[in-house]
Amino acid sequence: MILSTSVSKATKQLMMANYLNFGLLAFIGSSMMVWPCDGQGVPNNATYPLATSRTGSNALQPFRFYAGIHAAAQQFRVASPTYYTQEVVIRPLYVFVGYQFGPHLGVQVGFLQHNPPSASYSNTSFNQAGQLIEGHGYQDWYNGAVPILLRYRLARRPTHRLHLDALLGVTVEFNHYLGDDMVTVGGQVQYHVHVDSRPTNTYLTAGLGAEYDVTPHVGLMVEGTANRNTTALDADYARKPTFGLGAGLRYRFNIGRSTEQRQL
Amino acid sequence: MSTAKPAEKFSQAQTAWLRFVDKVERGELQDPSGQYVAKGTKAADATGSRITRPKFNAGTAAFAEHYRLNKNGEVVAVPVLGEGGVASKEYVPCDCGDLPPAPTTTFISSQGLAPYSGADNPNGYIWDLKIGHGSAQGDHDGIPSSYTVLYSDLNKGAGGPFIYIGFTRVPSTASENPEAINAQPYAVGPVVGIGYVTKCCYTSDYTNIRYPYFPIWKDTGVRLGFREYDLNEGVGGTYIHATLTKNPGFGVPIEVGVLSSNSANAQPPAGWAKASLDLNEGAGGDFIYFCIKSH
Repeated sequence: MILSTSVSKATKQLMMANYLNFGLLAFIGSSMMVWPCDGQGVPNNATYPLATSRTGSNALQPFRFYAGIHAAAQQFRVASPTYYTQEVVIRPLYVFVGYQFGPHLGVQVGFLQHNPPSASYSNTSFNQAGQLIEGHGYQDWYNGAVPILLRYRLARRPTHRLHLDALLGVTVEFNHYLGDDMVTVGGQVQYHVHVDSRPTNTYLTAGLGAEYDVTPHVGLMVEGTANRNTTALDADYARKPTFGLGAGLRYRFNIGRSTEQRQL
Repeated sequence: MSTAKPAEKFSQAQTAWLRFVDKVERGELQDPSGQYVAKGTKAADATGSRITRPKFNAGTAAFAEHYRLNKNGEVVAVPVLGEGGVASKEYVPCDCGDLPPAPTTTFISSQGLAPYSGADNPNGYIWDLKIGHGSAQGDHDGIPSSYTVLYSDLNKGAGGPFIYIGFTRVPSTASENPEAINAQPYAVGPVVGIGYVTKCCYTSDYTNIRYPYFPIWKDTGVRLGFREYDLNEGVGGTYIHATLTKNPGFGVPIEVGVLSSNSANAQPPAGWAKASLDLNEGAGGDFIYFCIKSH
């Protein structure tokens, strides 16, 4: 029920921001909270995720922190005041760390980046007047993103080894595009454009993930997310949702003594 | 007499240089500087970071330090104290002579080769280009047999495979390139420009950089399975992918040529223009350039 409340709030916020399409996506993802849970072996006063052992014994382990790594690809449309809107894909790794507030809700911060080697080009041709046309240029990209997401386990009691998570939050994308194009005709410069664009875009991010707990510490995850640019509200192309996929591992742990240990 | 002698001497020096490069390529000689290596020598191909080899430009002091003519008129690569082909300034005494080899250039072009005047291309323009390669001289896997090959190795002196460019003037025998299959504009027609993209292996990151140029493909014989071929394949240096355009808004039909030289300052015959990029950039070997001439 906590989920219903939070989703309702989130949905209202989305509607207030007039992000109807995106809100619908978040709602659909969150409404899939039909995962069966029986709460077997779980104390009623559990306050954060409890994972059963492989044998299903009562070896319950509460964990406050988690870290993960995914093989991932996230697509973004990056708007810039000084250059065209670019569609970029950040891959191949996504790392994140998180803190678990309770059995359902956690918050996580991640990072992913893509920094391909620069590329250059050179073209040679002749015009009708027999003058040599030469074109030269280069491009260099950097894209990095920091998703800050709430992770909500879509289960009344978080004891099943296989479960779904809803994700909602913001992603900040840092783009650097360095480009240069020059065309000479007969040795005379006819066209020269130099671009050094460093926009930062913010996206509303929502997603859905599935996780299978291999051990109390380790889970195998797959996630799909959608991003909508909130920076370039005047650019339809930039506002269109983009998507991402990831699959990998999550490791849960405590720093210092666990709650159980402290209680002892 | 006074003008004939230098010309004769110069010709001998050129011949000596070509013989030297040939012997190194066949493994009969070694070049201590590391610029020239035996054919088939492969550079480590680590992703994103490839081996680069030194390169000395004929006519410069650095070239003269590494290559000399001995008293028999043969080119001698000067032995140096150093490891891994990295030259130090301490040279091993040798009977190397004092004169450096002369700048030596070879040029081969499509002009006059495989003429065609069919109704579908009455002016005999070059209709398509392909890149091919092989482990033996003359092998050109990737260039269809209906194409004419310019037998000037684009890896000359740098090891690796033999790489050639081939052309056709006959539209009916031209390969159906991916851009034509995808019905992209100006995918079919006379070639009006030639170019390059230098990049690493992340082709999808820079899909727009070559516009309006398309790759000069290696024809694999598989529909939509053509490959872009690195012109420094197996030899290190810069990743270089050749491109062409058939968009008439960017030029007039051209002939193509290949210039190979031990000098970066070598020029093609009159009427030809040399493209700016050395096709062996960073890979040692000869300085090699595509050249074009308006048809």
